[in-house]
Amino acid sequence: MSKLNRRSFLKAVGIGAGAAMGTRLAGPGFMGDAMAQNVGTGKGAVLFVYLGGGYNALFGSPRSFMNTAFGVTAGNTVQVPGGGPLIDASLGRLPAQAIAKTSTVQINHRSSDHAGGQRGGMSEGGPIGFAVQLAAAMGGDASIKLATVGGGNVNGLAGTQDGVSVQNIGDVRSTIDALKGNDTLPDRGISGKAIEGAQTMSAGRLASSPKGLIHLKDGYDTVRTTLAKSPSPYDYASILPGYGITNGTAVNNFTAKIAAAELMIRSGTNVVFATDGGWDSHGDRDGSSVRNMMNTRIIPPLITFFQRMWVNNTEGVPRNVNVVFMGDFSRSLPGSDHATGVAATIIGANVKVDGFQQLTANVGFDANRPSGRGFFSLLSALVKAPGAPFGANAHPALAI
Amino acid sequence: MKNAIFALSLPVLLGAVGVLGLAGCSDGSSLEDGFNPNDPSNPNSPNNPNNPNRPAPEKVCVDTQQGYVGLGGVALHSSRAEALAGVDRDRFKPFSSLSGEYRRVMGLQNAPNLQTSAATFGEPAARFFAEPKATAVNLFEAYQVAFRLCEANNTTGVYASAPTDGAARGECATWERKSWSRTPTPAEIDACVKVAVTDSVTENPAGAGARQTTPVRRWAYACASVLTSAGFLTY
Repeated sequence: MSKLNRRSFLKAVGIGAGAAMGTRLAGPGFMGDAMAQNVGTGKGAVLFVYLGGGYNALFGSPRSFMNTAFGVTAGNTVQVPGGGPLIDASLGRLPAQAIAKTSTVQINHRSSDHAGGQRGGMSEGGPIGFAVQLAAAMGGDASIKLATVGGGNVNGLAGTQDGVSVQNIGDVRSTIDALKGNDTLPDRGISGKAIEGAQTMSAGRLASSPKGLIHLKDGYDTVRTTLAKSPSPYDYASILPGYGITNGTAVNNFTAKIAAAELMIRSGTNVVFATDGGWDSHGDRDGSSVRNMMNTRIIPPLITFFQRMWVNNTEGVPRNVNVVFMGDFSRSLPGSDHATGVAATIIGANVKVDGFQQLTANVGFDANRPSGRGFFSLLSALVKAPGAPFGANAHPALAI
Repeated sequence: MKNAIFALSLPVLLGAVGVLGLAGCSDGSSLEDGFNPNDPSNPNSPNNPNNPNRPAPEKVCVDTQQGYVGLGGVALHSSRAEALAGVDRDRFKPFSSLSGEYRRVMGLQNAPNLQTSAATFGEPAARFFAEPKATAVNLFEAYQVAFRLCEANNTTGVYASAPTDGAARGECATWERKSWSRTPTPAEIDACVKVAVTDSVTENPAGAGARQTTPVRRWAYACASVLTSAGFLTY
């Protein structure tokens, strides 16, 4: 009945290619590495952008406050396509691929004090933080599976599970030395044995301070594992210039933190925390202070991060890099004080944007929404962690 | 008569025990045989205050320290952290102390400049304090710093020749005594000797193939191993 002519052939090919691109079926071998940037089946990773003090819901749930609070107007918001949430225009500066996979999830921890809010999101008071559990469950062969970049303390981000603990990255140069080595450094193989010897010599002291020196024991274990691995062929030294950093390797500002996060994710780290301070924004009734910080300090390096990890990644490794924006809690009304939960922003290949969870106009949370464990069950689903370490996904509408 | 009553009562008692056992099992809190050693009513329980064989509990802070009652009858010591005396007292040395420590144990004229390593150790800003913690990266950095110092400063005398077992035992014991301020155990000396004599014979630099390690570097690996141990890096 139907005749195959030039027009219908091109149309069919176009639809097929479009479908392949849209669903990322193409893969690295089909349309080149550029098409395999960030796919739901890739190597999972989660980057937390943790804003110490709070994460105003004007960023992830601005429709709640349209023309009524925190200075939200149609002019400073952006609509996520595909039935997603309205988001602040600062987040809207991220690459289109990221915006198209952005949604909002409630973490209803019911605490309005900083330590309690952090614990609610990160551990619900348990001895082993959810991030540690997630990083351990994700597995993989990286020696450092959970890292903080540039320090920063979050209550509940602690504990050790299956040899996974929090490892801080304070300097990119020394981290690359440990991950990769170079010709001027001591031999990696011998160094691994020398550090094994150091750990043997330390046995008595480690045993007499099992809690106080647990970080030292974890450090020995991790550095030995690191030195035993073959270095990655990726040119880690190219990362800092990619972020415009040419004057030092210390991880002492947010741009350097995101560059370090890229380094760790490329080295195989499952979960990375980049914390930033100054977000306890009491009195910021029109949201101008937090918008300014987001626009000037947070978003610029993240644009680079998404460009390098999602859009123009030439590494040739399919990845599933998820980014979370969260803080101790959202800010309450009218004075931008402490709410009782946080509206977090999630960006990931497996995010279903139309399942977003908007707050009420008074920064209220749905009483049926879970706290930190439920949130991490969602993250576990987004990265497809084996074994469902947090049980069934408590937010099924947000994950493909 | 008593025996008869006991014999008649036994099934009832056993039945009751069984019922209690089942009831206990329903909440998962009792053992299968119905005799939970942690049950205070069990006469053999170490938790039973009437058990004459009950072991004396380890003393914790609350047993040995003064308690205080504040306004409203609130015990001010109620949130005091409990721990056994004498354990968990060691702490990671702050970065600011390391330079002087390297100078001390290596007998250097001047303290080495370690500023390029400050960020790795997360040295806090002036007038701020952060409890130092070890990580894989700062441990490796400490090891590298120690290796370079050992390689640069241990170059003559015994260090000019490849380490033998005997020479390594002497040097390792000396380094450990000086670094840890105590006499090392034979096992601790063995761990250092193994690095010098066995582990460090051949280097495999990337892309250059295997090569014999120079004597100075073999000593440096062992020296760095001691200076990366908890005896040196903690206090």
